[in-house]
Amino acid sequence: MRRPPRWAEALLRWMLAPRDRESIPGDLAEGYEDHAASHGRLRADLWYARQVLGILWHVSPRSPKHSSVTGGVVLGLVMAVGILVTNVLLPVLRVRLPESEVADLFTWGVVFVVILLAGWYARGLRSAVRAGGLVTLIAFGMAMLTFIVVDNVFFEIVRREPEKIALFHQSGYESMRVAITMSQVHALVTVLPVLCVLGALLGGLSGVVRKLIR
Amino acid sequence: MSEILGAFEQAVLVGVVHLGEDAYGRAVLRESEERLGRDVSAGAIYATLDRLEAQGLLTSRLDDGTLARGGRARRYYKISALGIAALNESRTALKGIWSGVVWPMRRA
Repeated sequence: MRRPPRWAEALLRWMLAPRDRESIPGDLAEGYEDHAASHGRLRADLWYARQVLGILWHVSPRSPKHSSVTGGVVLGLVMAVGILVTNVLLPVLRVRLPESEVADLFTWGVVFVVILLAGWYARGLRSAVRAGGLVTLIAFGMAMLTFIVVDNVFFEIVRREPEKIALFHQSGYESMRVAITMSQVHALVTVLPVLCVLGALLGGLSGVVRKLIR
Repeated sequence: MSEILGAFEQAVLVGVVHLGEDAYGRAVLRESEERLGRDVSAGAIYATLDRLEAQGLLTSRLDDGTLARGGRARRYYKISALGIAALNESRTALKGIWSGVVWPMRRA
């Protein structure tokens, strides 16, 4: 008997509900055997991986479709990547984005819509609140942590920025690196919780509106 | 049932009826592919089987596995009285929708 890739089998077992942990992997093992016999091992591996992804989306209780936690995590990660691309990657590549109030409004509009969507598609009010808070926590938390790392790695460039120089002079710290890092840690500890509460409220609001409409 | 079953749900339910005692997940998937004339993902089949079972249109039981599946149990499905009624209603509703129309239709 040929066995499917171990990582895919482990992922499948992890994401299935206890009632399906025997029957579905067993069905897929049969399919894998058939595919390996008729198309070869590589194509059978690809077929298996595709089925696992399909089950992850359609069936798994951990799917973003069924879990406000996974949905919130996925949307938060997508937003974090978006924030990092526009704030870190594009400036490094010397791509200049339009700086205007309209561009700022657009960015915050996207953030609002994503949080509203997370609340909208969550099941129940509690899940909507949790999803909104999670999206905000992951998106802004990851972005803030990355800014701390980036500013430390590229300190020689960052230290020449006028706002960073002003921040250093007002801080009272002897080291500019410490001053910049501490201001970011301070924002992480004070601003992030407030943003998360606002995100949770927004998610909850979206959940309530959905309930009223339907 | 107040709503007509979708084509996919009908294919799965009719597949379960046709397979009889052998209606377990993989067999239902192959039967549904044949009926729909296209590839179907395992995820879509299991999600549909779960939903139909939750609606009371199917029942299921676990049975022994085989060597080809590493001894893992098979879940066998059976249509319920409610499922048969839903299929009958869907078929009747479709016939009603198409009544008075010559099929296959031609361009006017």
